[in-house]
Amino acid sequence: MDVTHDTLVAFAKSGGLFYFIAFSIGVVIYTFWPSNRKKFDRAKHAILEGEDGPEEERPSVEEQAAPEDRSCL
Amino acid sequence: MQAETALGRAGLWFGIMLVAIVGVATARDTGFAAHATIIAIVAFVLMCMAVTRFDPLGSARGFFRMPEGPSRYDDDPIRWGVLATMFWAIVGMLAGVFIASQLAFPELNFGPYLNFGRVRPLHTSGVIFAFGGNILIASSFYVVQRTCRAQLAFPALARFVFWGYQLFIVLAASGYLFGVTQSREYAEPEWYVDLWLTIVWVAYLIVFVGTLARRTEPHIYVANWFYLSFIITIAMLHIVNNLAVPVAWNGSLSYSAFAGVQDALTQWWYGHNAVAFFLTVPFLAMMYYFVPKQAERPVYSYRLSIIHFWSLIFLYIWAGPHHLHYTALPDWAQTLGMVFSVILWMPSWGGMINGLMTLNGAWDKVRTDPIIRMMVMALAFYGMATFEGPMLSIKAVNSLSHYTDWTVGHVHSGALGWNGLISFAAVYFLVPRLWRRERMYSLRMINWHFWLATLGIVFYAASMWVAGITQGLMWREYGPDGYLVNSFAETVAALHPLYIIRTVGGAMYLAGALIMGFNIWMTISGRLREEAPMGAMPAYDPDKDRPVPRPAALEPAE
Repeated sequence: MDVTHDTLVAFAKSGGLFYFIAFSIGVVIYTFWPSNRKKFDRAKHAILEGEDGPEEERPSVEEQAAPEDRSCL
Repeated sequence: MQAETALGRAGLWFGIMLVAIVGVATARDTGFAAHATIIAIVAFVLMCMAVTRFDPLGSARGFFRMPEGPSRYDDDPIRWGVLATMFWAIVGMLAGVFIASQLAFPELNFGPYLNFGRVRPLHTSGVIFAFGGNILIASSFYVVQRTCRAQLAFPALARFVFWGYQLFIVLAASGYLFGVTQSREYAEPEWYVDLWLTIVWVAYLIVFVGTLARRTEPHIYVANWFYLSFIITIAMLHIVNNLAVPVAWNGSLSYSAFAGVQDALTQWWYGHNAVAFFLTVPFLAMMYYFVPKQAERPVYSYRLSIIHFWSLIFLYIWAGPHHLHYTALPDWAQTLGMVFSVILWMPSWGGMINGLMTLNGAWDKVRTDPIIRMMVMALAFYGMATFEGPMLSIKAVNSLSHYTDWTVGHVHSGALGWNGLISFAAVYFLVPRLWRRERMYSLRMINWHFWLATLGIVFYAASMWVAGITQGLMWREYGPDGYLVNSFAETVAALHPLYIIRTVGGAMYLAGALIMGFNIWMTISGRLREEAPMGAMPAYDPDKDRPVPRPAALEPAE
């Protein structure tokens, strides 16, 4: 089979579409996966204690992702 | 042992110097000879340094100073990067004001070295790659260490990245004035400079990924995602766009691997993604770190930042064809570029809103903290530029705006407003921390800088909007007999006052940068200006600004 310009265009118009949709669904699932919440909340706040000392001096993950913190949309 | 390595290094530099001298002697053109001379001088200086470093305690400290110990972040390349940022900002903006004056007053074209065609790439590369590139490398080294709580990996390589990048800038900038160019937008340096940048960039990637691998935080903070995609994508863009065959090993001329419309598309695939992955993505990384730090508030939504990241990088890469509307590029490709540009509006504004809403509950700081004020204005300009961009990419709008000064105005509201202001804010954030000062020498001068820059942009963008629409309308005006009404020279004459206003705006922006240079100089020399206070800066404790100690077993054998 000859790979012509039209073949590539047809592939881009079909395969590209499905690839994009599949990828965006994947990103949304990763973003809203419930068990990722803790990790994201910690990352969100960790930079602010920023100039912090060694690991054990920092508040634990559980303390940081306190239930009243619903600001991570 | 020490003496042997020193001798080996000196021998290596001597060899490079010999090759460069042969290059000078046999060069096919003066530009190549000039560049070979620069390399010979650099190799000579490095050879002398290698010899003097034979004294084991001698100049090991100094330019190539290694980290102060495992309990400290490795900030030396960052300090050098901030100074280089400041220096190149003034050089690049001065070149910009100069070429703006040339457009208003053509007598200022002092040929051949200082005519518009040669200084213009000096300006664009100077502000994008020298000013922007230095603050990106410096801030990425700062942010990756803090957010990973780990010291920079491969300290020697990090120093090579800094100095190698400066050599790239010097070769590129001097080449433009000597007339060495491959005539590709934002990729003017010739083949040997491109090869050198590739080496430096791979080293940069190794240092960055190496530091990520050393992290003691479980999750990689989102700012690092933006920096990493910037480093990887720029490598890809740079290599593909610059594929070329040199005519000879000792001449600067080369021919591109692409021709015709494929070449045009490759160039704008590169060109627009230079805007995307050099001028947008890594500056968003700066936003995701410095705005929360300065506001002392966490980013508004971490989840939004993840969606922002993936949607932005996946959409941006397709937008390039909008630079080639109404050309020989196939229509479907033009439409594809337009559609992706319009869709891009959403992730762009998503990111802007995420940055602005970080100030939720701290909006009073806009009134009291000039650095926050700069960040907010930067995000406002980012929002405006990312609305204007999709609008200009619509074919109907583009038929009026294309090739006019509207495009120039659009680029500058993004570059001066967004890239410039967020970089200045980051530098003002970094300088007191890097040099362990209580605060900047003067907060009021930051305020002056803010207003000079903002008003300068307003003058610049407003005059270019009027100029662009004037140009577009005059070019397309037909008389009843079917002939064009205006000659090109008539449109140029109509734009003269607007070009003068643009020069004034650019000069104001440059004046703000000069104030910044003075402010930084005084801060580093340890002075504090006595002035009415403006508001508290975020708390900073240098004793706590340390990496998490690594277990001894994991230390690389350096």
